[in-house]
Amino acid sequence: MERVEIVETGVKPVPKAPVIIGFPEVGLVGSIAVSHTINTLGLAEVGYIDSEQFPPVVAVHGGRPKPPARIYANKKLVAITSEVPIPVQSIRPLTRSLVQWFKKRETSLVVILGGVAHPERAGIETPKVYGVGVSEQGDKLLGEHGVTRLEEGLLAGSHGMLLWGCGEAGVNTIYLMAEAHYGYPDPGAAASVVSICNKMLGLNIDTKPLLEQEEQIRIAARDLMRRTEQAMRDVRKEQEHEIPMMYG
Amino acid sequence: MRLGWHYRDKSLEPLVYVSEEKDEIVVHADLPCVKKEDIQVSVTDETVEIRAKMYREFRCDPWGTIQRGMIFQQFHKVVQLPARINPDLARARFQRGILEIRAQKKVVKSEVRVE
Repeated sequence: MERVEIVETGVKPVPKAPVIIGFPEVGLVGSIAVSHTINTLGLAEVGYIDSEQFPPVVAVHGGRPKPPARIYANKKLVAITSEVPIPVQSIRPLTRSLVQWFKKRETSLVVILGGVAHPERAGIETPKVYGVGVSEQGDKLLGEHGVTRLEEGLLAGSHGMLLWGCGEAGVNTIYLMAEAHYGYPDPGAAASVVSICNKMLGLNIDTKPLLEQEEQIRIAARDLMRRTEQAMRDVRKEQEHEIPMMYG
Repeated sequence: MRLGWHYRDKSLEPLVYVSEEKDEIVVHADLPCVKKEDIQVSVTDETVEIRAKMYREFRCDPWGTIQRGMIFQQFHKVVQLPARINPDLARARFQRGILEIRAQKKVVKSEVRVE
């Protein structure tokens, strides 16, 4: 069975601090949102996630090799993202390891950031944000911040599995999804989820750079988007737009 | 090795999606940093070629090895279509950085006698 390891390398994140997490998926919304948060708040690198089933890819930053899935933190927040898409066979082991780590740290709240593909995204000025919680506490948080609850549907991929895994383990979690381009990097959608996070978690992250640099981000993130598109095909992401047979 | 950019003409390949509808082939391409007047679309019955000059260059510094220091100023891609189309009936529009090209499929229909 695959083992996914969470390795803490730096100063241990403060227990109970909320976690934001975003992996490469629809429109790279989660990756862009979390990366922007890490850069804006100057979060320190405190660990990484590794597995033998992850692609054999290493990032180089500041002239040093690093695993592509990393954990950052300051005293108030933990942020987790990856520079490579999560392979479909690693999604469940990753979910198990992350949930164990959240429980060990008594994480107060996990906020998963992502996108929901909208076929007419080009015509949308400000993407709407949908959300799913695992508890009434999470539902209340969504309602207080004007997030439309997803009542019935399917969630395919790492974010959906993580949401479910956290719920099963009693870790308070919400998943925020902004309307986004399916297969183009979408900094505008990332700005929408970051705005909600600002209000929910009391952060003060300026989203203007995401909108001002939107075109450059769209160019820079093209190749990751291309690879992510394959990963989304592997989990059959299009199921999220089907009308499910089972409900309730 | 398949790259998303071209070394010789210093062009980037845009992200492109092709879908087949009942009567049309639809091509979508993401073209950030491009103005509508700088886009050229050429169509044959099997391909769509997209060229677009960027109004702002994109530099790879300090990223990478070979790509480091490269300056990209245009997008270029030739898209192979899944079915033959009628080039004279193709139309295109550009909205918020997304180019959409729609082309009518060429339909060749013959009656077949059932024996």
